[in-house]
Amino acid sequence: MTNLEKYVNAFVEGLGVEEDVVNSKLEYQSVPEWDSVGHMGLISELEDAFDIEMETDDIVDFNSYNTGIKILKKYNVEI
Amino acid sequence: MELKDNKRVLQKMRAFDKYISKNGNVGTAPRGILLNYSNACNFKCQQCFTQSPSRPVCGTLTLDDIRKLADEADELGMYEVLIEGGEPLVCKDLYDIIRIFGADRFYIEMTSNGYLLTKAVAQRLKAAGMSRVSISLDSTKAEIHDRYRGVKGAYEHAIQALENAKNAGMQASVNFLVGHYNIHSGEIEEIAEFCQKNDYHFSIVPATPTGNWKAKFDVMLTPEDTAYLEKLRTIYKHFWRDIWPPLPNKKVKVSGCIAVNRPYINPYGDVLPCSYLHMKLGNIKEKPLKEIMEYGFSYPCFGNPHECCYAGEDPEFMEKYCMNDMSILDPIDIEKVLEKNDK
Repeated sequence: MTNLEKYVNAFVEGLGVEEDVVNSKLEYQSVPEWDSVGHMGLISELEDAFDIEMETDDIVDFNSYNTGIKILKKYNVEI
Repeated sequence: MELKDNKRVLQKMRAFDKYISKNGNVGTAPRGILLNYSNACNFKCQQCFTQSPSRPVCGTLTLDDIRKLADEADELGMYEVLIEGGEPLVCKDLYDIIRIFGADRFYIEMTSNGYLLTKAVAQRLKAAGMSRVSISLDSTKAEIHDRYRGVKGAYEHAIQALENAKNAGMQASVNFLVGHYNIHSGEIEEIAEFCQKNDYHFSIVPATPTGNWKAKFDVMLTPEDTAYLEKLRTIYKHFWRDIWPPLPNKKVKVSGCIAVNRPYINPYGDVLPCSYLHMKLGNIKEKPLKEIMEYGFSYPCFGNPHECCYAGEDPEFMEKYCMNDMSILDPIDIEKVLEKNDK
């Protein structure tokens, strides 16, 4: 599985959304599933998928599909 | 403040979750507190475990006690404060209590019957710092709910309260009492569907042989019932039990009983392991919370992992230790009930 596939899959599994909504337009609270609780599920999936431990500031700042890609670079994960 | 943007609460919540992942269960990690500041209530529920109908009481806790308690809980790394009753909305100090704990350092929740939760009240709660409101629901049928609650119109008000809480920006959740008597009645699935449709969370509250149901062991969940709840957990979203990790956790499915990890504090400041185990570990007016919790964990039954809920799923424990003349308002000193070598 490529990093992009892992990234998309983390949204699908963590938020419980269909794959077709996981794109660059996806933002926090743009779909009902990405609420505060869904967010924690997403972070958990990302940490498992890339074997990383995200800092609290990054969890707070992670508010869109695109921002997430930038944040993951800090953890040496290239999407 | 949204949970996602609340750094301090997120840090504490994730620290608790990491402890669970590393330890395999909740161990002795402090999670939060259940606070019954006032036991006064406007309902007469059949299944009341605090004896509110006959014993409304304001107790002796003061807002200064709450300030001290909040600081101690924060220092212990607790992330959650659950305000119960009685009915919290009949307590005049409720908003001060919420502000003292502070949404910047705790995820603050409240369990309510919803009768007094109007739109204006919901907005005031949100403004004070309440994050989540759990409304107790006994059925999707009004007449059944009203019969359990002893108040006509209770169901209608509860349903409206959920909407009011959600529209004010709080997480709305349904608390549903589940026991062997109703697990296969179809109501749990009906309420779960209702929650999914309306974007509410669903919290399972296990029926216990305490309070008005004292010694009614047949209401308790059996191992088969527990397994059925595990199955429902895979079907419905936002379906919660206290014995499951509070955050999505792939490593640990069942994190275990949280007696003492989230102690219960009654209106006199007495600390009990949980809402249903009426043993006194100490009093917050007399000792630091940390010391009281360490004392509780010194009993193996609380210090060692226990996968199921003592009060709702362990009839042997309840029959042996919890059938004395004891209640939330009159707990018995733990050393009079348990020996240090009791499991």
